[in-house]
Formats: sequence, C-alpha cells, structure tokens
Amino acid sequence: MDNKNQQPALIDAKSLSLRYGSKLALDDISFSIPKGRVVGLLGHNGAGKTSLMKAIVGLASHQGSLSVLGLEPQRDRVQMLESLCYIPDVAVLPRWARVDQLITLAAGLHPRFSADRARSLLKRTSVGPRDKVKNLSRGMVVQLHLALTAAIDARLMVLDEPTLGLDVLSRKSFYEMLIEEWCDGERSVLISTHQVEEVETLLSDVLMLNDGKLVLDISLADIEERFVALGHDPQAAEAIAAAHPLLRYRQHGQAAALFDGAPPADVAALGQRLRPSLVDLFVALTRRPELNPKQA
Amino acid sequence: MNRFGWLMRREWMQHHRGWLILAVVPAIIALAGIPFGTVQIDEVVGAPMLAAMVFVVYLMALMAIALVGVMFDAPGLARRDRQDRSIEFWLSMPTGHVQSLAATFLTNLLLMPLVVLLISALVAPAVASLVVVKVLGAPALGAIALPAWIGFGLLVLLREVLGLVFCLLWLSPLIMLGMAASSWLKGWGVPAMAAAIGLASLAQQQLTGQRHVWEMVLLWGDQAKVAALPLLRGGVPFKSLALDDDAMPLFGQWMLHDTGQLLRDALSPAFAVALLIAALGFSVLVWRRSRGG
Repeated sequence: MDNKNQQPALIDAKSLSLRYGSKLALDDISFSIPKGRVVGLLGHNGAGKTSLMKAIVGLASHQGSLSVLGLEPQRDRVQMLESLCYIPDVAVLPRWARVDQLITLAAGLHPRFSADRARSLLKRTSVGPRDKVKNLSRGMVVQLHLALTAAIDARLMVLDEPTLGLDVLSRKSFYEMLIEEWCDGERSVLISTHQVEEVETLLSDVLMLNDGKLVLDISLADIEERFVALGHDPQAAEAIAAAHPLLRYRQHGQAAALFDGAPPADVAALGQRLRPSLVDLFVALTRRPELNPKQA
Repeated sequence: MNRFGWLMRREWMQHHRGWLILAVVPAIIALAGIPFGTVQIDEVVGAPMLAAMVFVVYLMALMAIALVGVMFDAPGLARRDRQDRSIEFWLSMPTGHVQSLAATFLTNLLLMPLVVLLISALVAPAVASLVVVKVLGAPALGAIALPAWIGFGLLVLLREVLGLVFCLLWLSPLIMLGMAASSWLKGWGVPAMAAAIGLASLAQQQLTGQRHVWEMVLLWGDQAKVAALPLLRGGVPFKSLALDDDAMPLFGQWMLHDTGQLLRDALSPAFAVALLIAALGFSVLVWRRSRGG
C-alpha cells in the first residue's frame, strides 16, 4: 500500500450520496484525497463526475459526510474557495472582458491570487493582456483560464472536463502548464475526464465512477499489483474465458484478458503478463456496473 | 477596496458603456439641437424661471429614461451570467451568493441610473442656458444669479436622488419577482409574472369581490411615479422657480414638504408589503444561485 491513508485528507467523503429528485447521481461513495496527489476522476457521461465536483465546490446539497480542506463545502463555501481553485467547464470566462480586466478583478476578488504570476504564466501563451475573451480561440480561452487559476496559491485544484472539445495540441499544453506551473508535491489536483488515455501519465491516483457508484479507488502504483493482464494465443482463448476475466480485449494485435487479482496458476501459464492500461481498466469496470464497489 | 467593491467594479466594467451612452446621447442631441431648432414658450417668463424650468424638465426626462433603462435591464440581470456561461467562473471566486447578487442589483438598478442623473445634472445648466439664449437672447443670462442657480440645482438633484431610491424601493417587488421569474423562464419571465398578477387579481375579485392585489400593484406604480417625478404630484409653487431671493425659501419649503410626503408614504403597510415581497424575490434568486444558477 502507498502512504495515501497516513496523510491528512484534503477531501474526505464518507457515505456520500447526491440525488436530483428521484435520480440518484451519487450512491453512497467514500474516498479521501491527501495532499500532493494528482487524482483522475474517471467515468462515462452521466456517471456522476460533475455531481461530485458540484458537491465538492459547494454547489450541490448531499447526504452523508463531505469535508473539503476541513470545511463543509456548502456552509463554508467562501472560506473554502480561498484555498481551493477550480475550472468548472471549458470556455466559461466572461466574453465581454479583456484579459487585463480579468486579472485585475481576480486580484481584487481572490486574496490568494497573484496578478504578477498570472501575467508571467500568460507570457507562455499567445494570449495578450489587451485581448478580449470573445476574440480568443477556444484553446486560448482554456489557457487563459488555467493561467488565472494557477495564479491562485491554493492547496487543491478541481478541474471538471477542462479540455473537452479542444484539439490535441491545446490539450497537451494545458496539462503541461498544469503540472509544471502548479503541482509542487504539496498541492493536490482532482481532474474529472473521460479522456482516460491522455491523463494516465499525469495521475498518481484514480477514482472511477459508474452509475453514481465508486467502482475503483486506487493509486496507479497499485494497479499493476492488483490487476493482471495476460496476453495470449488464440488457442488459449477458451481456457482464459473460463477463468472469468474482467475484460477480454486486444493489445498490439494480440488477444489479452484482464483479471482482478491473480488468475489461477494454470491460466497464468497460458499467457504473458502485460501492463494493464487505465483505458482497459476503465472499459472493464464501467462495463460491469454489477461489480461490488467494496471489492475495488 | 473590499470584495463587495470589487464585485461592483466588475459590474461597472461590464455595463458602464451602455449607461454612459444613455446619459451622453440625449445631452448631445439637446446641446447640438437647441441652437438649430425651434423653442416655443407660450408664457412670458424671465430668464431665471425659464432656466429653472428647463433644468427640472431635462433632469426629470433623463430620470424617466434611466428608469426605462432599469426596467429593460433588470429581468436580464438574473440570467445574464448563465447566458454567456460565465456564471461558472464567477462562482469559482470566493464571494458569497448574497454579496454577488446584491452588488449586481445595487450597481445596475441604483448606481448606474444615479450616474446618468449626475451627468444630466452637469449637462442641464448648459441646456438651460442654451434655451435662455435661444428664447430671450444672450444678455438675459446676466439676470440669473449664480448662487441661487447652484442652490436650486443642488436641491433638485438631491430630491431626484432621493426620488430614485424611493422609486426603486416601491418598484422592488415587481423588479425582484420579474427577475426571479426570468431566471427560470428567461424571456417569458416578465409576461408570466404579469399574467400571474392579472390572474391573482381576477381570482380575488371573483371569490371575494375585492381587488386588493391589483390595487396594491397600482399603488406601487403611482408611488414610484411621484417619487421619481415629483412634478406629477403637483403643488410646486410657480413663483418658487424665479430663482430670486424670495423664490429660494419658497422652493426650499416645497422641497421639505414634498420630501416629508415621500417619507410619510413610505410609512405605510403597502410599502412594508412591497419590501417583504422584494426580499422574498431576492431570497429566491440567492437560493437559485446557491444551486449554480
């Protein structure tokens, strides 16, 4: 096990549920995020990612216990937002504003915002201080938003699908700026996305939601210990299938199977062990809603 | 500057251009139009009285324009940030929902019209002087005593500022309910509110034979009207506009009486009900905002 559970949690959720009328968006989930982690919140559309984000930033009522930076998000929202910054969606900056106006306003409204830092981060981009948001491309708006958010000296950053709809270069430069300019080993980031393959290399931990249930809460370092992927010949397919893998798929042109835990020795002998990818795990776990989250 | 001040500054950054245009365009039209247009005065009056009348009429006309601006602007304010999706950005700032909404409403409903009023009060003497020159000739300007002119202008401006505050307070239930309705129903919010008031009045009349709802709304409208445009209440002594030594005390007396009436009107159950309903509408908007809306 990693040292995740020995550090004080920045986010601590216990039996957290969230309901919109009769629809259960989050179903009794529990997890904690300590400092210094980059956590991916993965799930299909409608899995409950945005509901969880809204609860964390104090914009949704919930049942159960949720503590963010030691505070109750809805009740202590203003105090919490002084140490938590978030990007709720792509391109939500006010279109009427100029870049320098946004910097001025953020400096006035946020006690931990550094205008100098925002200006220096923006120098890495093609966004100019006199540019109007409405004249910027979608990718530039996202860069600007990240520069404004990364200029906040917070302990926790929450990103909800921050790169949705952006081209690959914009997505890459977004994550580069995030990791290089904000993450310092003490701060934590929670990134919600379903572009699993793009964030895999950034993450230290993964939370996986499916139909409002937490089906996986694990550090990336532990994935290889717990999950076993076997590459095998077509002739071994029947024997492998009989061992009930989580997922059967193809990797580099070869048939493969993913097991939760070690497969029986005779089955393991039929193939070669591969590194299980996050994408395969995602497909396996979010295609199997009947998987008991307590097993995860 | 505290956070509330910064929230108001944000409103100013976003909306000042429209309000300045509202103040400046009539000024340009008046200043550029009077020298070339025709001014017809039926009664023969002296230069001071003419200047005073033009000053008052100009200021009240601009007050009326600013209030029309407020009425058009208000319903959209409730859903403005959701329309351009920037609500998500503003909600990520450490500001309370009450604070954010109060800054939006205070700036757009009161301070912006106040700016229009102040600019108009600066322009009005120039407009009045142009009319005097046009009707009575340039030498007539010499008949206007500057101290009396300044005193008169300040008194009228003070009354209009007070009038604007009370006018908005009388209209606040309709403004807040219209905003709350618009935050859900968008462009249909105000028509829906008007229909709801009409139906409630009709239902009350059918069931009890009374029309309290309708009469209350009419009363709010009437009170708002005389608060903003005191000339409509009547009773301004004509002589008090002469801007001479005798006139100023007379005008001051009328101002005192009119302001007293304004305050007495506010000490009424109708005003209390208006504030209560406005508070209810505001609470609904805060609740909506706390859910990200």
